[in-house]
Amino acid sequence: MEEKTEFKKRPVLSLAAQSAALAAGLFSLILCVLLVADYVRIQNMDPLNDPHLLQLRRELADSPGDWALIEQIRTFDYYARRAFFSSQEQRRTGGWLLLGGTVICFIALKLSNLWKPELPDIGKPEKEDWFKFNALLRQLLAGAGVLLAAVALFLAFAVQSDLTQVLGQSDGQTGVSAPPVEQTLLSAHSSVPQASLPAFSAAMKTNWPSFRGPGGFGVAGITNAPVSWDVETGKGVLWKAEVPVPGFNSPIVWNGRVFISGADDQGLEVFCFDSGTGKQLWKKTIETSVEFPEVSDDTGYAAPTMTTDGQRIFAIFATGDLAAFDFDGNPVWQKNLGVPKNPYGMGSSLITDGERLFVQYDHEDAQKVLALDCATGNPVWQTARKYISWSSPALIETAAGKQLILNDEANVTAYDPTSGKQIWQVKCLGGEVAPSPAFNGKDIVFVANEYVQASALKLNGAVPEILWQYDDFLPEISSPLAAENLFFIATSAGDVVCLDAATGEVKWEHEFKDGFSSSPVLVGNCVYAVDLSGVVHIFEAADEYKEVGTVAMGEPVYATPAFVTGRIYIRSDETLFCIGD
Amino acid sequence: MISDFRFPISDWMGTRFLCFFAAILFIATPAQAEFRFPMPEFETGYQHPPVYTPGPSNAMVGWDIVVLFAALTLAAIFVLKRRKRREIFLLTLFSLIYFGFWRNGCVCAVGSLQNIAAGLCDSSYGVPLTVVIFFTAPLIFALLFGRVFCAAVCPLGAVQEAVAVRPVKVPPAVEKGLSIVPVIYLGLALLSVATGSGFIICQYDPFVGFFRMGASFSLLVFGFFMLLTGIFVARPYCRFLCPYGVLLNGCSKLSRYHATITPSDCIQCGLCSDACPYNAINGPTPAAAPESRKKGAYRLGLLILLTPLMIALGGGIGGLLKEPLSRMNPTVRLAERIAGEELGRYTTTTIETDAFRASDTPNETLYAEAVAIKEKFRTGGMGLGAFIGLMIACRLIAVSILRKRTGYEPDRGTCLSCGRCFKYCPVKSRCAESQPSGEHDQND
Repeated sequence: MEEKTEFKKRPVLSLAAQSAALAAGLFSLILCVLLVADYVRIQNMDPLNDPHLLQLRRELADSPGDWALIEQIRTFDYYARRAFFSSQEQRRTGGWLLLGGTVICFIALKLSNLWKPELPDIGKPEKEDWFKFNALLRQLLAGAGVLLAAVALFLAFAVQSDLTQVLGQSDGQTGVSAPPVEQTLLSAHSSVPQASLPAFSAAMKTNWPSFRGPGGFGVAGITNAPVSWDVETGKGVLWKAEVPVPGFNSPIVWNGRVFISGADDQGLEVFCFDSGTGKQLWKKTIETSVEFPEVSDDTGYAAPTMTTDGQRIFAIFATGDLAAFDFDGNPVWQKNLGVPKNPYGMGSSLITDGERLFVQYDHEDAQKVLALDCATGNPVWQTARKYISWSSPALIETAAGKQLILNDEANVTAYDPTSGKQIWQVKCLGGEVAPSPAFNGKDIVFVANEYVQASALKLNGAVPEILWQYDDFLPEISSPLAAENLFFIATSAGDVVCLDAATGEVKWEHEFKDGFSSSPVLVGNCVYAVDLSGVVHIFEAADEYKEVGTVAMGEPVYATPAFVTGRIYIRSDETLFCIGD
Repeated sequence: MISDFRFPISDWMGTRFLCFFAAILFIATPAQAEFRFPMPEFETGYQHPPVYTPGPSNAMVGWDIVVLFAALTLAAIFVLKRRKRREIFLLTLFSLIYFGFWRNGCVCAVGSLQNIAAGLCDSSYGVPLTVVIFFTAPLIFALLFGRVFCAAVCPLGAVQEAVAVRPVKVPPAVEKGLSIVPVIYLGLALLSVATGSGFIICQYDPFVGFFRMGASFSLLVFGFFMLLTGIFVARPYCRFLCPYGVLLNGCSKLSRYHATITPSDCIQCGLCSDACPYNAINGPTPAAAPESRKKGAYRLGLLILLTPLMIALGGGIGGLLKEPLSRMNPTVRLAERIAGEELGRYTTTTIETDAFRASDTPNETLYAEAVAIKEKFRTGGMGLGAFIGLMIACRLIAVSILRKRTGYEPDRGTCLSCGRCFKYCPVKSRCAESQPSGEHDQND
């Protein structure tokens, strides 16, 4: 009688409870699916970066006082917020309903168990051998202890510390040894000379090792270059060579060889020409396994200019592929830095100090500047940055030592080329920055970008002093140029303005027929600026505009010319020219 | 016929269905708390009002203590005196609602051990009296009455008890083997507190997200799996993770009074052992030992002698774990990430490294701080290893001591005093026998 009462079954009630559990469960399940779907939707939702809203913001940046635009943005913002908070309220309500449904479901299941109890199994228990069981437990505990020790030892030796490596510590007490790859990196790092090489610097100045020449700020190491030639008659044109593959990069020149790169969606290539004859000595294709990203027609896949350390040449493309070749075209090393996410394409050119190759890699997903060992491609240092940029680095020599100057859409920043540590930073830029920094060779860095202003930064302390700012004619693509006491800006509209380097006073303005994509270069006392239609404008770097010469190349020119030992190398749309006497 | 009883298919359907929708439930409901919407931008001179952060309310603290003591007392009465599973379960539901959903799982006795440890390690850290009471009261009750706190007062245990619809037995050897995990977790939690690395028990509390209707997605997934497991493996967190359970286990072993399965003499039917899903009932020991007393004594002596060696070995290995253990600390993690970014190991930065760089704090300052913390972990790791070595040695010794039992008894350390076994015992007290049959409790 006792058992019947204790474990009495009530099938009808049990069935009712199961039905209630099923109903509550289904109700909760539907809510669950809706809430999960809502959660997934929210994860993909980014109302504040809605393309339409961003477009409105861009338009507002162009027209700051447009109240109609401001109202549109506010209305858009209001609706986004209202949708968000309504959705949040719905989810909260859904959550509570779900909780209620679940509670009912569990209660019903418990009641079902109560009314249909599981009866005790009187066939049991199987009496275990107490001694055998305890022996098994001892073995298990001992095994668990050994396993724990093994896992702990594995972790102790497997987990390495980047911090220890950075600090140059050796953890002899723990017996932890750095893996081979890190030792290689360390040795590569320690082998990097900390001082620049004077002899190498001299070679840098007599050649054209990078975009905008030695140091990358547009000042040639030579003082004389042709001022007149005729492309149609061939007078003064030493040779012409067809550009095999398109690319917006500029030529670099080293010891009788001219290098350019080119790329389209079929492949990435590097070309070497004999600077004396224009003969193509070799071309190399860079094999890549990555998918080509989308780029704009104005940038293409080969916008960054190559660079050389005097022994190797380096090229980077919009795919993130970075390759090094020797002067005979033999591959030295190659790596992919990750496909850059960039609305226009990779624009930053390379530069080297002879030992380290500097890459400004500021993109939407990652912003950083890194230095690689020229010989091996191993990373020497890497410093994270914050903003995107299409500008190229400049390597300047100041009284305090060399500084790597980088522009981005907010700041101009100086880094120590040997360590990558930030030296100073000034917030004076904005917008989508393509122009690179200029330097007067002594103590003033100039930066400028369209829609913001030009700024002159005096290097006279821990943080440079802003000498002046100017916001009338500003460059979009072409980089500004600094002479000793003057500062030049060439705009996309065709204006060239000359400012006093010390005060920012406008010395003169001159309007040309076509705009400038190519950056002006200072050769001796002359400025060479090539406009988009391919007309080379040569004028004096003086307080007043004084034309020295004007030559039409006959083809559009986007690249910046190279100037070496009385010669000019100009890459036009389809032709590589060598101008000389 | 009792032996013909089979579990109905429809029950299985219900159980499987339950698992599926519970899975989605516990992920979906609180996940909304992760999303944030920034403040509006104003360019018309509007001044944002200062953010007002209300101070902590102490209005309920006194009540919490009263309710805690009342619940502990009731649990002790239900377990030891009334022996009613249904009453224990109803008290469990009350605790779930009050300490869990109403009080959002805080103050929690499980987490309070970190506050106590922090107070012991850092003299400047003030431990509120409420926390001290929440830490000590369950332990005192365990010393007196066994783990009545686990039975019906702990909200973490309660939520698992509520979902334990179809508990099955874990093989006893697996249960014993996994019982070392809470010891390790306790050691890690204490190490984390001692090195200022945070309260990991709270950070990784799998159920608090449900109580508060909000947690990170990964934590919700963890909580969901714990509850899903808990449908079949009753109270997985209590048995295989709970660090506070290690302390309760120790106190309960010494308890003055403890729940008994049978109110009278055990008839060794074994039904209680079959009913207990926690493997917390020990059977009678055999009358005749298959091995000599001398052999057992030799083994025991050897294990006792080996104990210092195991402690030393554990301490030595623990000292080597400076690097992996120190990753528990957010400062060390940040320093390692910054260093890794400097070495070019990563292609992107993180929110943390961006924020650090924006603070203009020199890297060297961060590195120096991280190195100092790592040294703490070297010492702490030795302590942790020694502690684990000691606990393993103690367990080896414990299973090598023959404790004679003439009947089925609850294991005082692991028994959660849930009361499931009461009604399965066919031996009734005189009091129970005198009651009308309809008043007996039934299986829930």
